[in-house]
Amino acid sequence: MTALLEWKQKIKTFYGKHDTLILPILKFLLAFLTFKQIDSSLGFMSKLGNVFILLILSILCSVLPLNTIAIIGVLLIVGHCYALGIEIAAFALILILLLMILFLRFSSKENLALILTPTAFRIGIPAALPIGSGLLGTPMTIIPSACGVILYYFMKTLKDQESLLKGEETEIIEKLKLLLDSLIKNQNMWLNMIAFVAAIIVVYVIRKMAIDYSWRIAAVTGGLVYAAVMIAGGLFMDVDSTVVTVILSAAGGCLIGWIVEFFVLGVDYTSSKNLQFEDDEYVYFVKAVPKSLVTYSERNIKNIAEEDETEKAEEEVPLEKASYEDVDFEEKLEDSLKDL
Amino acid sequence: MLNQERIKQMTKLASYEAGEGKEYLPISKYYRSDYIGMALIKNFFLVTIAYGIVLTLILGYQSEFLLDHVYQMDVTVAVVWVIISYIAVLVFYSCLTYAYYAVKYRRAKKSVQKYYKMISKLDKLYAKEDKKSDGKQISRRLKE
Repeated sequence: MTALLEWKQKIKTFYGKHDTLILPILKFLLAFLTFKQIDSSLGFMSKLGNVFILLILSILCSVLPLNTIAIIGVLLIVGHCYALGIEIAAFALILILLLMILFLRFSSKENLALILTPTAFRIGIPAALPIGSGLLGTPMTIIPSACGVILYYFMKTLKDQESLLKGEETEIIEKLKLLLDSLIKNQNMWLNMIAFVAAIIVVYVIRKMAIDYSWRIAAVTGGLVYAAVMIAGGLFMDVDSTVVTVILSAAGGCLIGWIVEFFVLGVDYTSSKNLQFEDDEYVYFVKAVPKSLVTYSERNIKNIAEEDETEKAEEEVPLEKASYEDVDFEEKLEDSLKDL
Repeated sequence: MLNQERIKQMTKLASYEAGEGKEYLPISKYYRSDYIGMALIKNFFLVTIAYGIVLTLILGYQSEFLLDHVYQMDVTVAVVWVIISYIAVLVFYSCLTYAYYAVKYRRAKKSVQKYYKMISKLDKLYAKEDKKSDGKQISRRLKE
């Protein structure tokens, strides 16, 4: 544990020294991962999947505000839809516009969850998102997370029904009906949304409680709630997720929650103190929990072997022999006589 | 000469302006009623657009059914239902917008108060420094 804390301290110090460089790099990586994930999920327009284009867009996002990733991501989705047909692109645009007008405008600060949700699904640990959101954000993250679930299932439908949506024999109305049905009648989507909302609320409420290990308990409970809702829903609804994948996802989410707790909070509950004091108006019951900190000294490694070798080399350099012709014996003799 | 206290205060102000102040300072320039009123007008247009889109989608989705039963339908009742549901949605979103922007405005005002306190402190530091420099100039003149 001490080694981990020392490692964390080193990372923090390093980040503090180079934050102006690290932050754009992290934004760049996040943007690239998100855009690559969109491309691998849809991939209808090969030009948009070009690595150089994705790299340029990611570099652009690294210097612009975080919400730019969401905007460019959405534009990429619409671009891929355009390859299927202009009506599909129009539907995607309308769907995103509706989500923005009806929901996302109230959660502008938390919209990072919108782009992270499809990525979490692709990685196979969707439970990590509600747990992370509950630990780091506010209950408002429910809105972008739920919208992210809609966006993920919309993308999934596009991929699954690609041939039908691309086919010219299918009428426009039929295509739109297919897309609407895939959203309204998609029980997987609704169940995931319910599980996300329940997990975020539970994690947030427990995290805010004044109890020991609240963050860890919140992460585990969030994972359990997510798994319970998904498994219970699977009994009554027509969903394709298996119990094993749900449990693995919940376990992955808990693990990520613990990692988040270690880096963001990192307190030592074993050394907590209960204090009581008062002033003219109130009596205060305070619980002080110290942060887990370790002091480490920055060691400068001296290579003694090398130094010894250089010293030896210096010693071994032969002294230049003075030639007799250079020495002025007469002057030297005069100097010595002066002293006498 | 450099005044350390003043530099500290100015750094605090600059960091506020670059962080929290970026969001809250423009809000604090409005009156509460103006700020919330503007948000409600914007909300009206947005909800109308969204309602229009949703209605079009529903009509498109049910187009076959509507074409088959258009002669049996009571158009007046349908229009009344559309208007009632529009008003209900508008009222719901207006309440939501009012609550959201009222909370945002209160937070902004609270946060900006701290900023103005820092500014008045900086003003006092400047005034103190001016007094000192004036005193020095007078004493020099007297000596001359």
